[in-house]
Amino acid sequence: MNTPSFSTVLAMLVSAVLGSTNAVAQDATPKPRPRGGFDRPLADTPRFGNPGASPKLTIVELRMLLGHWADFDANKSQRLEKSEVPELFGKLFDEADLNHDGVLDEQERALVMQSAAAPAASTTAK
Amino acid sequence: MNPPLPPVNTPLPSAVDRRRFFRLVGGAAVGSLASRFITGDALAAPLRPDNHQAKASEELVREYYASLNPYQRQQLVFPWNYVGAGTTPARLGVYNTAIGKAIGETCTKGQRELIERIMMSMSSGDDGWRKITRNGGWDTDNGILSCGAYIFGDPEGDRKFSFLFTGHHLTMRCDGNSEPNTAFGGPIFYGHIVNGYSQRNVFNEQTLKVMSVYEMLDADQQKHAVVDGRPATRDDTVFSPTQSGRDLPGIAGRDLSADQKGLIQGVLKDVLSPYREEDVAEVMDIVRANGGMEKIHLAFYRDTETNEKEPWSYWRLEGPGFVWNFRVLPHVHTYVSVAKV
Repeated sequence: MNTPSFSTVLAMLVSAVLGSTNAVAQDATPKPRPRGGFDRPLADTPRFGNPGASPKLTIVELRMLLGHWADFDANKSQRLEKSEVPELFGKLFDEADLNHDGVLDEQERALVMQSAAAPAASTTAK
Repeated sequence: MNPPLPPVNTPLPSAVDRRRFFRLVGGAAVGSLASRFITGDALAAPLRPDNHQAKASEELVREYYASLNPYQRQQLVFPWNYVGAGTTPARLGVYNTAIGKAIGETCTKGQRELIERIMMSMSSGDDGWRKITRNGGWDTDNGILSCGAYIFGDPEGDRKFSFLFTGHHLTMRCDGNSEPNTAFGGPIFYGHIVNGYSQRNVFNEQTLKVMSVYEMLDADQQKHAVVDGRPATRDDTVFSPTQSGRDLPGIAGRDLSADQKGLIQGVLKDVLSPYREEDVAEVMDIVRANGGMEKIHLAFYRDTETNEKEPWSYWRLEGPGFVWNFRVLPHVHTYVSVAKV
């Protein structure tokens, strides 16, 4: 195994210090709310980038949705069918449907609700 | 197809409710993030005008509202004067994206189909639908699922309400005439992510039509019609549509021959063609009430982006209470505001 030279280690250290300084500076300066029709008065956060992009849904959003399980269980079957959830959750629904029977039952819901996945490590659906 | 437009030069005898729209738009800080969670009569939407009529689109909005579960209502339904993170009532803004939760993250397939029916009922025929959906793609990566469909006020009963649809290059409304003396329920926005001179742009025929009007002007008229630079900013365009008596750029309807005026009316007919008959009729009523085509100016803007083949970066129809601001380059963005003044 190659041992990194002193200059390489020094460069990495400098880079890390500068990087963390920049990160602090960026955190200290909040981004202004966008203009030009990109305002989102009904959202908690502004949107930057492609205005035609879909929301990036993760297990975090699925957990939030399943927190309102009863609202979406239109036929009161105590199970969520795929047609009862918003369409962009389709891929996450399939992943949570562990026995692939096309519905989320109480046990599958509990597993999603108990999952400890952090947002950064969670599954992203388009 | 829409029927031929009625003549617009006959003044209307009806009284004009001056600047109510502008008072509403200017009335900032009417709501707050917290206020939408307060219930009771204090925040109930005001009554709609007595003469409102239930239309197919409005009935579909009621159906959509009734279909929303408590969680969806929390995400998608807001008080009439809700401001949110903005500074003016959110229902009156023009937007270029979903302004809250998107349809795809809140609505079921059945509800999405209902929203499509609402939008279809607000458009005119297949061609109107093609334009409003931008060939079905909605200029987004997941079609209509990336757009938003929100309700302000209360569509059930006699309270004011506004169904607001926003997405990339689109802001449209259906409000049962809750916003008096204002066409489309407030300013609207449309666009397409293709160069306005390209045949692939769904609004290309609007560009061609207005270019043909320019060709019909004589040399002196053309000189008056061309403006160097760019038109007023979006905020000026949308939130302060021109008051009567202000000097306007471009050539006025009153300086044109009857034939030429007819051509401008043809442009107006074309730009209105994607919308339902009620909206078209309301626009024409307001134009007539504000002084008719005589007072509408047409201006062509050229800047560093233009060249011989693509001569205008913007063109703009503007008169009292009326702005149709069409950006051709680099792709189409159009802001529209029509209100009685």
